[in-house]
Amino acid sequence: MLNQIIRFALNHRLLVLAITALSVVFGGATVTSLPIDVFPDITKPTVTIMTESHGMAPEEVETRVTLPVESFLNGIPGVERVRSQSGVGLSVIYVEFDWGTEIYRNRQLVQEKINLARERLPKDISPVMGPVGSLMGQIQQIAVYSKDNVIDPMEVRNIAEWVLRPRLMTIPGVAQVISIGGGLKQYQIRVSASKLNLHQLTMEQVDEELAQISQNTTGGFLEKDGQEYLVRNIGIVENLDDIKGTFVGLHFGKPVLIGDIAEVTEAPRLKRGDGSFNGKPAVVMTIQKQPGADTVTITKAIAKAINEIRPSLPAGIVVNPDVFKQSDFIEASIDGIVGKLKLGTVLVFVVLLVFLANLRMSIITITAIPVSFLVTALVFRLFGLSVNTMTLGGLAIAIGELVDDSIVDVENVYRRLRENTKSLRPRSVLKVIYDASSEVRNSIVLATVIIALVFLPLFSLDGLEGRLFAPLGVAYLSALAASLLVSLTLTPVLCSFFLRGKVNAHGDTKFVLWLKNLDKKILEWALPRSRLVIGVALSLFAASMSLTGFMGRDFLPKFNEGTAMIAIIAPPGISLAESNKIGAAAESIMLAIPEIRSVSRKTGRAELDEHAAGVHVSEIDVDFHEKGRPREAVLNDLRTKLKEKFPTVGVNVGQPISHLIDHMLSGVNAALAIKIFGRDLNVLREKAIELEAAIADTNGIVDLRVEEQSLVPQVKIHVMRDEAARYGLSAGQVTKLLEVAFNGEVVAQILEDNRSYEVFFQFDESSRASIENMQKTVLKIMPTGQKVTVEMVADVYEVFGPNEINRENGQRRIVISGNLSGRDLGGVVKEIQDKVRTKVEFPEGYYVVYGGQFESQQAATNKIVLFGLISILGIALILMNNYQSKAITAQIMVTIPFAFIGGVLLLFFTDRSITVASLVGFITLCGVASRNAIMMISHYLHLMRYENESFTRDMIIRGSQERLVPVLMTASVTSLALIPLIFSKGQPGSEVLHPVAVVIVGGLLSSTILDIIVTPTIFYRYGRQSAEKYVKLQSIEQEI
Amino acid sequence: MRNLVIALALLAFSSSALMAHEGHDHDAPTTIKAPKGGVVKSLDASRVEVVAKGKSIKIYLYDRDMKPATAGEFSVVAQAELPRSKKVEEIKLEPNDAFFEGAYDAKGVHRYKLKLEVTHSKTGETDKLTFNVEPRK
Repeated sequence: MLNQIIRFALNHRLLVLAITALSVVFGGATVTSLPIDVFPDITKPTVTIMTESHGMAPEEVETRVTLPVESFLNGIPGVERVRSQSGVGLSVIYVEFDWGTEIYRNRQLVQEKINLARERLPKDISPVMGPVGSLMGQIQQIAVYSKDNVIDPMEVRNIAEWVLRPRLMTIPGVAQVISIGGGLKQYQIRVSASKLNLHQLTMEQVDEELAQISQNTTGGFLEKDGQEYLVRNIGIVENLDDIKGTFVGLHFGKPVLIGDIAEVTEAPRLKRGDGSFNGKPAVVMTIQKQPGADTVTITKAIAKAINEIRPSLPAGIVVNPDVFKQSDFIEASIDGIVGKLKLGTVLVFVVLLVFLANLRMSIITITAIPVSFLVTALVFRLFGLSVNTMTLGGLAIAIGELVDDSIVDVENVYRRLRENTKSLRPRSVLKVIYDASSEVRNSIVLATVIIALVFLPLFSLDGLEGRLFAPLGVAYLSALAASLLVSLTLTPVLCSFFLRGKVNAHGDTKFVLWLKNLDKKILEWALPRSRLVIGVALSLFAASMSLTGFMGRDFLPKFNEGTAMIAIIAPPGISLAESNKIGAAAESIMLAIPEIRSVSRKTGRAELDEHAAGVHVSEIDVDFHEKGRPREAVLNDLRTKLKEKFPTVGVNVGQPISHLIDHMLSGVNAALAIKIFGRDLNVLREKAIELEAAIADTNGIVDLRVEEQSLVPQVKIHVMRDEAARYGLSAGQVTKLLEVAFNGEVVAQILEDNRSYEVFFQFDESSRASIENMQKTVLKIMPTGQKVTVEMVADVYEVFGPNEINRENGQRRIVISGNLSGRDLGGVVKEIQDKVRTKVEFPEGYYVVYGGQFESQQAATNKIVLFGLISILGIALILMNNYQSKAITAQIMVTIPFAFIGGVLLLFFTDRSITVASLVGFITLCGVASRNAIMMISHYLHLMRYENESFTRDMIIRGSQERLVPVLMTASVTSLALIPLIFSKGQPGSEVLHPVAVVIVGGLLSSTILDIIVTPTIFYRYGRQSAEKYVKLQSIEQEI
Repeated sequence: MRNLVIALALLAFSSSALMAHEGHDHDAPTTIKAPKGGVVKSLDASRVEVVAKGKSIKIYLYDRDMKPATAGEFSVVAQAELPRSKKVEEIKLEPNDAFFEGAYDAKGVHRYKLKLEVTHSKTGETDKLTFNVEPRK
C-alpha cells in the first residue's frame, strides 16, 4: 500500500502539489482562527451547589442544609469526590466528577438530586447550581475608582454595576462579571425600637404592613364607549417620600407612618466584602469567560468596550482594565514558544545545509516542517484543540523529527539519482525516485510506529497530567503522521522537480569525511575491546541512575505567571472593617517593594461569587515590574515582611492559576494539603494544631497554616418555648420576628431608569447595639397593654461556635496546608510523614491523608512508569515481529538505557528534580533512541543481504560509517530544535516543556555517542549468529 | 452616714482580702489558637482553656505565651449556674498532670454558666472567669 501511495504521488504530481497548496492555505487560515490559551482545558468537571441559608450558624447549615443535600449526591455515577463548606448562612458543595465525564450530563444528574433533596430542606431554602466554570475562567480584573475620592463609593459601584457590567456582559464569551467594593445602593428603612414602643406598635404589625409596601394589582377591564380599558391599581413605591408616607398602624386613632418610626435613607447594602486598588478604595470587577471561549479575543473586546464607554462616565471616574489580564500571560507564553519554534526551524535548516551541503536538498527536506505544522492545525480544528503551550510544545519536540523521514528519503533519492547518471543505461528519473523512496519506506514507517507507540502512555493518563500532556501527544503524533505522509508523497514529487537533471557527482563534504574517518578510528579501537566498551557503558548507566537518588520529586515545574496572588487570612470572627485595615496595611507593605507595580485587593465575598470566603480573608493580586530581583526573592521578602507585621495572620503566597490548580487537586489553595478526618470538631482542631507544631521546623515548607476552622463569638437567643407560649407566641414566630428585626429583609424593589434597587427593612443600629438593647426589643403587646420583650421569652447569651465546617466525602475534615520553597515536594512530604508518625497520636476514628500536588505526583508517576513499561514491551513485540529474532530485538532495546544516561545527567545539572514533565521526556526518548538503533542495525543486515557483505569487522565499520550522517543529523536536528527550550527555564509558557527538552537533548547526546560506539560493538560481539540467521531466513522467504 | 462609711470600708476590705477580680471575657477575635480546640480566655498572667463535651469538663491552664502549665501550679474552683432559675451547683474538679477534669449533668438544660475561680498557688492571686457551656453540642 505504501508503494502505491508513492506511485500515485509521482503519477499525479500536480495533484499532490495542489492538495499541498490547499492544505497550506486552509491550514494557514485555520491557525489564525484557532482559540488561543495558555493550557489545554484542565478544568475538572465540577458542579458547585450554593445554598443561601438565611444567616444560619455553620453547625445548623451543616446539619440542616449541607448534610441532606450531600446524602443525595453520593451515588451519582461518575462522582469522585464531594466537598462542602458550611459557613455563616451559606452552604457550598463541590461535586467533583471523573475527568472523562461530560459536564452538562453531570449538571443534569445533580439537578435531579437537588430536586429530591429540596423536600428535606427547611422552608424557603433552595439550592442553586453555580455556572459552568473553567479553571482558567477568571480572565481579567478591572478596577473602578474615584480619582481623589471625590465621588461617593456607592456611585462608583452604581457605575460599575449599571453602566459597565451590562455592556461587558454582552461581549460574546463573557460568562459573568462579579463586582466587589464600593457599596450597592439600597433604600433602607431603619426602624427605631424605642419609637416603635412609643407608638405602641409591634414588630409583627410593622412586618405585616411592610410586606405590602409596594404592590401593583390589576382591576380587570372597564368597557367604555365600545372600548376596553385595562384597570391598574398602582401602589408601588418610587422614592424615599413614598416609603416614608407608608401607613403601618394606628396609635390612639392617629395613623402612624414609616417616617414616624424609622429613618429612611439611601445607603449601601450590608457589605460582606470590599475591594481596593493600590491601597485606595475601589470596585474590583472580575470577568469570567465561558468554557472554550478565546481569552485573547474577549480581552480585546473588553478594552474596546471600555474605551467606548469611558467618555460617557462622570469626570473623576477611573476605569483601569489592566489590573490583571490573563491574556498577558497567554501572549507572553505563546509568543515565547512560537519564537522558539522559529529559531528551532532555522537551526534545523543550518544543520541540513552543513550535512547535506546542498541547498536544493535542504529546501526539499525543510518543506516538511511548515507543511506538517499546517496539516496539524487542521487536526487541531478536527479535535477541537486550542493553540496553547502544550500543543505548541508537541510541535517543538517534533520539529527535529519532522525532517527525519524526508532526510532519509531525499538522501536515498539523491544517492540513487547520482548512481543513475553514472549508469550506462540510465532509467527514467521518476522510476529511480520511486525505487529509492520504496527502498527506505519500511524503516521510516517502522520508526514512526515505534515513536507513536511510546506516546500511548500519555493518552492513558487521567487527571491534570493527562489533560496537559494528551494534547501535546496529539500535536506531536499528528505532526509526525503528517511528516510521514509528506515523505511518502510531497518529498518524492519535489525531488522529481528539483533534483531532475541537475544531480552532480557530489561526494561527502570535508566535514562529513572527517567525521567518518574519526568514526572508523574509534570503531577500529572499540570493536576488539568489546568488554571494556560495554563495561564503561554499563558503569555510566549505573552512575547516572545513582544520581536520581539525589534528585527531588515534584508534580509539575513551577509556573511563571507574571503575577502573584497573596491570601491574607485574619483570625475568623474579625469584622470586615478590621479585616479591611489589615488588607490595606498589607497593600502598603507590598507597594513599598520596588519590584511591585500594582496591587488589587478583594476582602470577603462579592454578592454573586461562588467562592465562599469569609470577611477575614483578603486576596491580593500583585503585578510586577519586569526588572528587579528574581521573583522568588521578591516573594520571600514579601512573605517575611508580612509575617513581621502580622504575626497572627496567615499568609499564603502563590500565583492565580497555580492557586486554582492546587484548589482543583486538593480543594486547598496550596501545594501541600494534610487533611485530618474525624467527627468531633474540637478534636480535629486540637490535632491540627499538634500536627502543625510537629512539622513547623521542616526545611523547605513555607506558608504553613491550619485551616481557619476555629471558634468565633456568637450571641444566641434561645427561645424558651414554655415561656413564649404564655404570651401566645410560638418559637417559630419569635425567631421569624427576630430575623426581620436584627437581620432585616428586602420588602420591595424600586425601579429607577431601568435600574432596580432593594427596599430593605431592619432595626436601626441603636436597637441592635448591645445585648441589653436586643433583650429589650418588644415582640408583642398583650391586650392588657403589657409589652412582651425578647428577654421574657428567650435566654440571650454569648457563646463560641465554629466559623465554618468543612467536609469531604461525607466526613468532617480540617486541613493543614503549606507551600514549598527551595526544596522538592517528595522530600518534604517524606519528612513530614515521618514526623507525624512519631509525634502525633490520633484517637480512634481519626486519620490523616496527604493531598495536593503530592497525591497527584505519586499517582501520575506510578501510571507513567507502568504504561511506559507496557509500551517498551510493545516496542519489543514490534521489533520481534519485524526481525524475527530475540537477539536483534534485545540489541536494539539495549540502546534505551544508554539514552537515559544523558537525560538523567543533564536533568541533574539543570533542574535536579524529577517531575511528570521530565518523565514524559524519558518516554519520548525511548522512541527516538530505539529509532537510531533500528536505522543502524537494519543497515548492517541490508549490507549482508543485498550487498554481499559477510559478518566481518569491515562490514560493521562500513555500515556504521554509512549510517553515521543520518544518525548525527537526526540527533542534531532534534537537539538543536529543542535548544531554545533548554535555555528558557522558568520562562512563561516554557515551564512544563523545559524539563521535557532537557531530558530529550541530554538523552540524545548520550544515545548518539553510545550508538556510534556501543551499538556496533555489541552487534559485533553478539550479533553474528542472529544476523546470519536473519539474512538466511529473509532469502528463503524471498525464494518462497 | 457613719454606718454607710463603715459598711463601704468593710466591703472594700473584704473585696481586697479576696484579691479576686473578673477575668477578661473577650479576647481579640481568636488571635490565640486553642491548643485543645476549646474556648480560651485570658487572665493577667495566664490563660484558661475549657473543653466541654456532654457532661465532661476539662480545664487547661497556660501561661501568657500559651505554654502549658501543670495543674499543680493552680487551684481551681468551679460552679455551674443554670439560666432563669439561677440555681448554682458546685462541680468537683480532679487535678490531672496537665489539666483539671470534672463532670456536670445539666439535666437537659440548653446551657449553663461555668464559673471558675482560678488561684495561682505561688502568688495567691485569684481570678474569676465565666464560660457559657452548651452541654448538648
